[in-house]
Amino acid sequence: MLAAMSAETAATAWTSLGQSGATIVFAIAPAVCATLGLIYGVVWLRNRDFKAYLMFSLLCFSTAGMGGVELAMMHARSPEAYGALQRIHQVFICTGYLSAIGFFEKFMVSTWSRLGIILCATRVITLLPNFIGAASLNFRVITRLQPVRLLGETVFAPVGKVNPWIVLAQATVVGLFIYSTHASVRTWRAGQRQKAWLAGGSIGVFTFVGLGQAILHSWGIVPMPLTIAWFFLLVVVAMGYQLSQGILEAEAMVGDLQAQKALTDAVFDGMPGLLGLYGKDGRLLRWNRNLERLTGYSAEELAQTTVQDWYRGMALGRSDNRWSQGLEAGRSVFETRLGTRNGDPLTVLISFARLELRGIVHLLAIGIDITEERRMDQELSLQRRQLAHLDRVSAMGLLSASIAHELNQPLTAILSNAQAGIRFLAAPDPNLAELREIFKDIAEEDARAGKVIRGMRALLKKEAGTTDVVDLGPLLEDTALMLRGESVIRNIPIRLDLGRDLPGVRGDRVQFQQVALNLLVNAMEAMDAVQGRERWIDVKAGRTGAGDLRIQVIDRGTGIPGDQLEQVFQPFRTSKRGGMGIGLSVCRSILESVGGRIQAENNEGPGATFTVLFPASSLELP
Amino acid sequence: MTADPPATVYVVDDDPPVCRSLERLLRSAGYSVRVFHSAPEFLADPRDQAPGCVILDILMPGMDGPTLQESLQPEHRPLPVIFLSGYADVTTTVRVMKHGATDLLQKPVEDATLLAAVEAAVAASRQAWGEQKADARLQERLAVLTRREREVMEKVMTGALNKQIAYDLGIAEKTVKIHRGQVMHKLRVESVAELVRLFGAKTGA
Repeated sequence: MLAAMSAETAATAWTSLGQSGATIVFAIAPAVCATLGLIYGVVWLRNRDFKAYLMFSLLCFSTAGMGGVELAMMHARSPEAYGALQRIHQVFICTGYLSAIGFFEKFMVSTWSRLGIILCATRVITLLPNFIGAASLNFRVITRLQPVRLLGETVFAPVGKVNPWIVLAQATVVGLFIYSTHASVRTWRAGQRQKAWLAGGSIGVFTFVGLGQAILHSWGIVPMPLTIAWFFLLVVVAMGYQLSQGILEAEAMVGDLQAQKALTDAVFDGMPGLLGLYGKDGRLLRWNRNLERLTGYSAEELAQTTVQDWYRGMALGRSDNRWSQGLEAGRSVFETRLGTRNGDPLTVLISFARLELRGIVHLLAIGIDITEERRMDQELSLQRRQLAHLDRVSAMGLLSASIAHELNQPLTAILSNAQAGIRFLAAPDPNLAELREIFKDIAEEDARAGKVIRGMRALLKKEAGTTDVVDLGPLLEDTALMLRGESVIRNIPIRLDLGRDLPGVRGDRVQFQQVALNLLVNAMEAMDAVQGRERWIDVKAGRTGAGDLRIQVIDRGTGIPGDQLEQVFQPFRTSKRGGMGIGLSVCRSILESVGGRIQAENNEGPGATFTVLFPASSLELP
Repeated sequence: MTADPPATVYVVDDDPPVCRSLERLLRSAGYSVRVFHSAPEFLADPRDQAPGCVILDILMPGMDGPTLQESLQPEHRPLPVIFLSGYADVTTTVRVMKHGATDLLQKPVEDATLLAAVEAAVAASRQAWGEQKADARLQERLAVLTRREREVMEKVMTGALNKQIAYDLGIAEKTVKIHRGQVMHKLRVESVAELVRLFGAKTGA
């Protein structure tokens, strides 16, 4: 009973529903369109770059408007009311038309934009005859409303005289067909076939059907209500489908991004260097495992750190400005020392790069651990210093006779003076003036011996002295003096020709003396075997045209075989008996450490010339 | 020494302070000292013809000590050479000793050692000077002989008989006897043996 009753109620309801079918259906279309328009409008508001979404949203709202107005037109009570509604309807058609072209402009691969602009302008112009001098764009006058059946409901269709301006509107529809076909073909050729099909096809169908209905409706061939909104709905659905592909693509992109992240994580942790991403406030946002492993700090500790911490406490280098340099200049590369949990600092080469992620400034720090390299550098430099020291000791050995001679002279003078003095004092009435002279000589000779010993001690010192501005003129004179004994023993005079006002060179005095000593001893040894011609060493110093300081040691020895002019500077290459062959290599490394150069060449006459060159930039002008 | 006039010691060393100190030491011992700073300077000096010695440095720029010593030899001067050096290898030592150096002393040198060496050298020099003087006196005596007397003397010193000498010189035996008597008289010798002892080395016979 109850069931029968409810069945009857349902049937009655269905019947009454059936009587307002057109109203129901025509209410759905605007609702659907408005919903779509809302969704895409919101998407556009979130990301203003997606102009196609804005256009699509406008298209949806225009269609919704059309549908709503069409429903009202079906229920219009008078021809005047119908005409007024149709004027509004034309406005929605116009906005729909403009947004459809706008959508094409933004969405399709390539369009005939100039045609699009002309079409839009024309469509806007059609609004003039829509509002001026006629009932609407469609009708000059609407004589009456004729009831017609639509979806089981009685609605009204207009009867009247057609407005000739409607031809212009219909021309824009044909134009739209051409415009959309052109854009679809272009898009098709660009390989985006689905997009081309959907856009081109839907617009094509819309123009064909819409134009047909408009002709039938406006020219009064068959009285019928306007259902343009439905045809537009077709376009909306087609476009909506195409746009929805974007959502699917976005999902695929999320998957891609996850894969990308897995890859970057693997790269972060797998790369041998240190890596840290800092926010603009200096907080460490991301880092790789190496940073944890090498610094010894845990992930929790690192998450609490900022880049400033590295500079204040954890890092030993003072490089706050470099951090800001990295932010401002976009890039900064420097070497610094990082503190670690266990206190052994790491030497790292760090590159700071400015990085904008989603409009926010970040700083990417990439570091290479060069602690081991620096340690090896230091070891190498220590070895070099030890080698230089060894060379000095060995030079001292070679010079022992010379040094003995240089020490013996003052010692002889001191002893003989002192003993002469004692003898004078034993005589009656000693000559005090003579004794004064004796004491003066003793003091002077003691100073002379002391100078020899100091020079020797300086050369024997393990660590070379400090960097200073050294005048090479006096240094060469001192060295020649140091070798005086050797020069006499070997009967090889050293002839100095030192220019005036020689500039100073920044470096270690003892090391420079070592160079001079090595070159002079070498020159002497090159002449050991030479008989039958005069032997001497010329030492010349002066400025070159380019302003460099050039010092030449010219001997008259046996010269150097042509193929060994460069090899003589290699360590452990020697032609001498008893030599270690490190002298010249030590000379070269000492000179290069202060920016100087050394080279060997054979003279045109007998012997060889060693030339030392200090470039103008390395000189300290007097 | 006190009776003799002061001997001159020549110091040749390129190092002025060393020269000054040696000069003082030698002067304190009563020697007259002359200092030279190089070998050529010394060679160019017109030295007194008097006893003395030279103290030579081995190592000097230009001409070294041993070379200077060798260039002194041809003059046959009785001027002993003492070498004083801080550096002397075996070769140099042998070289200078071969050429008659009286001593080779190590620098720095004790006054006693140096003065003893100088004293010995000066004594040797004086003796040589004495010998040279005696020699000169003998030469003076020989100079009073006539050429014939000299010829006869030389024959006599070879031990030839008067007869033999007369035959060799182509003169009478009696004349030989007269010359012989003149020689013995002029040279103030008593016997042929004494004649040979005093003058044997000077005549080349």
